[in-house]
Amino acid sequence: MVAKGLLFLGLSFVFVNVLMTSCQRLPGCPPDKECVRYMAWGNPEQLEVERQMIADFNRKNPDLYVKLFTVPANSYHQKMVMMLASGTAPDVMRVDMYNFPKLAKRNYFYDLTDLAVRDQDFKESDFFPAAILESKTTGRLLGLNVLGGGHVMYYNKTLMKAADLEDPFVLSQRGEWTFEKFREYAKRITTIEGGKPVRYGYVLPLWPGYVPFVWGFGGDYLSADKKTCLLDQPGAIQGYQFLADLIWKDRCSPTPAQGANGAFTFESGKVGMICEFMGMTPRYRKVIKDFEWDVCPLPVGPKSGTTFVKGNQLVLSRNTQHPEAAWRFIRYLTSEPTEMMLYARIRRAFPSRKSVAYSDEFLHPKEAPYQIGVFTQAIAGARPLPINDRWMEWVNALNSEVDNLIAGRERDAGVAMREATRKINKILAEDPDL
Amino acid sequence: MKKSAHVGYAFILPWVFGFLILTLGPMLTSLYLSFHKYDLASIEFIGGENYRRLFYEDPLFWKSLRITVTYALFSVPLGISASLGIALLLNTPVKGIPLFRTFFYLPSLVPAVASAVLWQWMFNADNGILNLVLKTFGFGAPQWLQDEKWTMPAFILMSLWGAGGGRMIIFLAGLQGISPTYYEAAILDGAGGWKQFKNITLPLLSPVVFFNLVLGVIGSFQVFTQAYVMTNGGPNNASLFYALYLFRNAFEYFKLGKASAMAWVLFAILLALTGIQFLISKRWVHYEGEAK
Amino acid sequence: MRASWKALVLGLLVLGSMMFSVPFFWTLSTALKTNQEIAKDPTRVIPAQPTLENFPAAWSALPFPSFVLNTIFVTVLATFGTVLSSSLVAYGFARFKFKGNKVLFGLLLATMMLPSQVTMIPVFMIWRSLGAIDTFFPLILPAYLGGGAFNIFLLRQFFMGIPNELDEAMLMDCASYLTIWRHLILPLSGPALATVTVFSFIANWDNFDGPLIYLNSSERYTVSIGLRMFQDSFGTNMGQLMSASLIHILPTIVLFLAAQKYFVKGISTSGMGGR
Repeated sequence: MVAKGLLFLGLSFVFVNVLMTSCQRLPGCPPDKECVRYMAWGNPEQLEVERQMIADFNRKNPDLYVKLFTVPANSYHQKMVMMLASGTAPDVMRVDMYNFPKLAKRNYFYDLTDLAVRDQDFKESDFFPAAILESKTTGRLLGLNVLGGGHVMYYNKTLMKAADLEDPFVLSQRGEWTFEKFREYAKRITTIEGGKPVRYGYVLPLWPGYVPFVWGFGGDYLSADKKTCLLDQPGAIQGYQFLADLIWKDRCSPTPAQGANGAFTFESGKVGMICEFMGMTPRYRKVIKDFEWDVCPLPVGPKSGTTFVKGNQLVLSRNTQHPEAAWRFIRYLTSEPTEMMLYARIRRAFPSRKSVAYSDEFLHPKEAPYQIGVFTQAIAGARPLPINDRWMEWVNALNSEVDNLIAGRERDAGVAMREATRKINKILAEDPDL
Repeated sequence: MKKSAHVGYAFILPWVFGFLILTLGPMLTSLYLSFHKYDLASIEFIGGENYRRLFYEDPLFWKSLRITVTYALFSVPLGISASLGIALLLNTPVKGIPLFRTFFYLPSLVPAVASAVLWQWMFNADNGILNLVLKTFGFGAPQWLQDEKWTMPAFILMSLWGAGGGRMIIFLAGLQGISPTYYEAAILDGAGGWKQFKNITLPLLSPVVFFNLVLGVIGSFQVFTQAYVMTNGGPNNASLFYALYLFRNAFEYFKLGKASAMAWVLFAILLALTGIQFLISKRWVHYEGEAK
Repeated sequence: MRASWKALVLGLLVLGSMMFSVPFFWTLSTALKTNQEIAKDPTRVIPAQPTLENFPAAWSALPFPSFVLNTIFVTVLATFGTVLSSSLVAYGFARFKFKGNKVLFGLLLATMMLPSQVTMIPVFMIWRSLGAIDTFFPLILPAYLGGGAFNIFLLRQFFMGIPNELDEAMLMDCASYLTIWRHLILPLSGPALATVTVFSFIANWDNFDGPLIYLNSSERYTVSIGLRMFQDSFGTNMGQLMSASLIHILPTIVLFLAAQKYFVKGISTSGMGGR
């Protein structure tokens, strides 16, 4: 009887509480302010930072109120598509570059060009060209870039010293950090004890992390107009053969089965080198306690040595009722003080502003990675990924062939790439909507 | 005894109401879209073109269908037998049975996010608990989720782990509903355990078996979450289940017309399979109180 | 029952319990590991240095208290609605021979056969036109409109297993159909109703797609959305994800144990089942 009474009391408490919040149209939004809804993804720590930034913005802009709501990263895209398709999208959203062209093509984003022209403090030249390039579609500015940055190589200094290898950063300064050197390093670090791999030199990154290796051999994915696949050309085949050989010939990178479930992650100390964005830094700083590490440029291939760059966009919904206010907010998110906090202190990603990237605070960190100029150099020469509105589709087709190659079911990269090219060309030739 | 038809309508009214407002319209909309080219921005009537292309020009459609049918063919019969076996086991008057039931039911309670990660670890080729057990008994160690030949068995195995879940509970509820007087009478007649099962348990449980069969088939054709979270269709599309391919077409490629056509093909398949099951059910499903 | 038979059953139960609860205990063991240990060796079963630090960390990482209140609110109202309306509708389908019964029942089943991905956007549009986006209505109201084809079909199967003679006897006593439903059908379907209750509770408690699609304010989020927030492209915080998952499933385990006593209250104890 007592239990039932308590249960009843507890439930009434819940109901009253929940009903109160659920009856407000937009909880937390003061009626005398212009409200801007902002949707973002991120893990709890990132969201905490986001919340602090918004609180700061709301304090500094008493006429506005930004309301953040967060969506789990893995479901963000689906939620956003539902909202865009039904015209219920929030004023400001984050969009992953992978999805940007196909959404831009459907005219879902507010054209920022005029807002940018009217805003006298906004100068495109303050930003890295790569950041501006990604945000534009046919000359119109559709978003402000929150640059992820270029891929660089993280390496385990302790393992390198133990294997008596010269620091790859030093090698790269001398221009000797080549694919061959990289392969040699990977082989030297790899340790097999009693038939069981203990350490690996390198872990092949997921798509598209390995793209610079294909470029390095002079290979490419799509033609300049992004309408034809070029993977059956010799450079691309050599690139994929090099990658597959790291696993199956040189045995210095784990097979998919060996590497599954984070058995060989960089932070476990069981891997010599990996390719990643700057965004990995906060995690590594937190978890890595028992070895030294830093970053160096990607090795240089026989034909070229460029890495790739990719960002995410801050966009406004086409249907927004508050374009001016929303513009002020995304300008704040890409302003110098904000970028200083996010990228110089937390190092969540690479800054999109040059002034931040070349600032003293950014270039002289107090914790690893110390060779931070590597990220800045990477951006300077980096290429964009061949992202078009069919990206998801042709990447899925490519990945199933690459699966065969890196799982060792197909040892000849030429066979796999010719098959991939055939499938991708078929997709690119089809009506995009059928 | 005549029963008023109006009263029958009144009882099912809540569902009819919900169906008319929330379900019928969206179903018809998707049927309409399946005859159109629709990319969320523009719409164009193209007749049966979506269907024609699925059948004649899309190898992945056939592959995903084949994968899904294979999965259903194994996971439904194996899963139902396993669930029934477990339910019989958990229906025995042994001390601590509520605790045992909970243990069997536990894997179904672990949220999908957590269980997807756990299953990836269990299927790990080198350190996974499954292969550790297989190795101790001297079997080989397949690379479950990385080897396209073993991906399907891995998914079927994983579905069997759910045998202690919802389906088992339904069987258990069905077993609880069988009056012990039947068994008492059978024991007086000298019937053994197997005979009791065959002549009493199975016939009286047949409505529930039928329910699990129909729902099992429908559910197995719509497997999505595990494939999406664990393997995302790989390796080499070995786990590209039908619903996953449909999802990709709808939300990643924005081919909503094609996705709708896929949905209605699946609908037709399931309607046919369910219809056949209902026809056959007249021979083996036994209701105590059918509407007269 | 013979002793050897009993021992066999017990052996199978213990073995099966061990096998089936592996995922659960692995969740537990991961929740008790430090992030360093998970990074080093994720597949190790027994933690080297068990710690409870993940639990408070996960709990305070997100506004879980308000997530929990929202989840309780939605789950309790939706579960009540499901049990009520699905048992009414199932009774209608199981006991009345009206025109179109078979067709309508076929339609009911057919609603389960069309993959939800293609109806998602149109359904969303309907709720939008009703002004119900970012409210709990889309999560609760459908429970009162039949409560889902699965539950109706399940209860119909059980109701059809109850001999007709019983209701006829009550009809003779001039009882109304509602009385028969309330005082005959429901009491005789204890295990089936317990099943629907447990299923519906778990389905709503774990519901992710619904809250994801319909809720647009963090203040209205439910726990299942919170859990997914731990997943991240720059590495999932496994320890916190697992400990939050454990807290999340605790109520469902309690409910499951509590429902046990209803699983044995079937026709068997009412003494009316045999003829």
